[in-house]
Amino acid sequence: MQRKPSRRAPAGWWRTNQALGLGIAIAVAVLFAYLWQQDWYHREQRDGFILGFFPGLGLAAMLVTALALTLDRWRHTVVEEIATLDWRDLLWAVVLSAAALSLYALMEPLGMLLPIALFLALMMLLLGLRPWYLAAGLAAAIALIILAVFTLLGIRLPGAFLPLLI
Amino acid sequence: MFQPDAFIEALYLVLNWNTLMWLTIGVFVGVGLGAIPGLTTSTGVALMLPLTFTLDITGALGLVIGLYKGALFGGSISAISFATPGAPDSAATVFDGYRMTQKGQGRKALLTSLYSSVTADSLSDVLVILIAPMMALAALQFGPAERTWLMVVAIALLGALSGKHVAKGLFAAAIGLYIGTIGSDPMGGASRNTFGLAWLRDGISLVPLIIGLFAMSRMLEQAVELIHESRLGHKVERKMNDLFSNKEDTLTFREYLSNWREMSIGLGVGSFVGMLPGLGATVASFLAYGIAKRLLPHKRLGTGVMGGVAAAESGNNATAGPTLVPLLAFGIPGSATAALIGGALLLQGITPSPRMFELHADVIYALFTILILANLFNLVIGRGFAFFYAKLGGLPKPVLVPTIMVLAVIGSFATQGNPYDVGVMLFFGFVGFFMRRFGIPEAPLIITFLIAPMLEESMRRAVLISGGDWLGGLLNSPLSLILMGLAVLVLVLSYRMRFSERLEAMAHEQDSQGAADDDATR
Repeated sequence: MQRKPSRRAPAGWWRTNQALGLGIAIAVAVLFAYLWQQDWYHREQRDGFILGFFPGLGLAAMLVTALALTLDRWRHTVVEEIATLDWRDLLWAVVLSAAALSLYALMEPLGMLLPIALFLALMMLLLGLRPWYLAAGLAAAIALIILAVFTLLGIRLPGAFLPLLI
Repeated sequence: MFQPDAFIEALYLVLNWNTLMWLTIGVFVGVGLGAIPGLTTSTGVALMLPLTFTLDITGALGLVIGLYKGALFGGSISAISFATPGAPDSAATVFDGYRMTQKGQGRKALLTSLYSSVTADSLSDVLVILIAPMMALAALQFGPAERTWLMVVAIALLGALSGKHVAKGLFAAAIGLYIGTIGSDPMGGASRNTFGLAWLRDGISLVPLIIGLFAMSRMLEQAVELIHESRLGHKVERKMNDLFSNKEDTLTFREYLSNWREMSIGLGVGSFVGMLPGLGATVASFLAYGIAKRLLPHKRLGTGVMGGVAAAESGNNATAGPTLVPLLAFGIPGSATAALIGGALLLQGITPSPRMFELHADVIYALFTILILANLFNLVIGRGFAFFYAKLGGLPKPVLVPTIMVLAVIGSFATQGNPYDVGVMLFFGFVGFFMRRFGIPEAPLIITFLIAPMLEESMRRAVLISGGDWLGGLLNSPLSLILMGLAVLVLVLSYRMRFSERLEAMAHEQDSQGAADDDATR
């Protein structure tokens, strides 16, 4: 991945496996404390097991492996992908996930064709496809193809084809 | 054990237009997906899972297995055409395949890849057909304690072999174990671990989880990379003209046969590696290539020879069938793709387990038939369209990434018509993005998620049978003790021997040797 040198963050301690393990361990401990306070956790079943035993076992396994990350021989290692990660990458991942959620939310009121075509066109432009009319044309064509294929296959779709159509 | 009636029923189920059509579509789409860099087999199968919901069992198996096998071969097309493997499974093919293209032997390299892939795949499928029923028969004798320890061994192997870092592999497995408990208690049915959300009472649905982890997360990652890039992708030197040139030599039968040693090594290594949980096709292809290079020094693998392509491709394709052995024999998927195929079976109401051979013998025979038929389809479609697929590798990512994101949104909704599934998919897409960034493998998560209810049930039954005595219940036979010892041994050895690091070092060694050979040639 090509990046400008100024964007590259330094590989500090917080990018090491040890920091990752510690962060996870804290999060798992908080989750465990939350579960422990729930009534269902301590409810005994007919076979003698409490209801929270297996969720607790899963969390215990997560905690042990997270602690192993902080102590094992690779604890000072910085994974290549983490060395170049900055907060903007995370922000973009959130924005893109939100965009996908908005796409779904708009499917019911606006019908499927318009939101899909709009999402595709905007994403193509964001990801660098030029000129704009190529992105718009491709977006419309792909949206039509996707809807046609899914409709032909009889797959349940989140909205109607066009607004106000059932 | 062999049931002729079930076999005839299976032939009837498979040899009809509907199944054959879905098998053709699966292979056709699979080779294309494999040829596009950035789209892996798992992504393709994950996106197709919602579609299997609308098909009958053989159509679903035809689509998924066809796609899997097609994608395994498809990865070599872009590896040979422009040194960019469609998936990591084909990375070892670049060493000789791309050098052959540079020497003007691209067509020969592609045909070598196709024929060695299909040969190794077919022979390994025969091995599966022979081994899986015997192993299932043995597995039927296991009690709950042995089943519990067998699953623990599988989780240990997955953690130890899935990634570069043992603790990260095991951490992924632990996440799967935890989220597998969300929903309701598998024995009593009481609601648990739902965070007060009523829609979580049925647990996390498999399809949105798989699509999120294997498709959405990768698209998020690629989209973020594309946003950072100043220009569209990096330019790779392509010598595509050679592939389409009619002047070029094709592969003769004698040349194909001359690679029998490399194909045998690939077959042996791939079949063995495929059966072990956690390793997968990438490791198999590098191992087969490395072993062939050491055992056959006179063949000068790494300098752009057919043998290198044959070893790497037969190695990765020979894992296709054997990766299903743990799934069919024990109900434990050995790889991400096996987990996805297990998911397709679950969506059809069939739980993969050794009892499948008794309860659904027709489905087992149908699966075996589809495994073999998929190779023939792969051969025909690969032979006819490989040169067309080579162009697919150039499909711009800014078009591909948003299209797959749309498919992921629609696909996660389509299975159950549940709006929350879209949210679950996006959540796990984000989780998968993080995991990939932190170098945590996704495969152990999905595999333990699938086996978590079985593990819980077996463990509780074992303790229940012994009247609440944990030690007596879980360590009640020599086999239980052996399996427990094996799990401990795997974990200790994987930490001490740094197996994953060695494999990576081997891959780098091949790469740097290849580069040195190039410099020497110049």
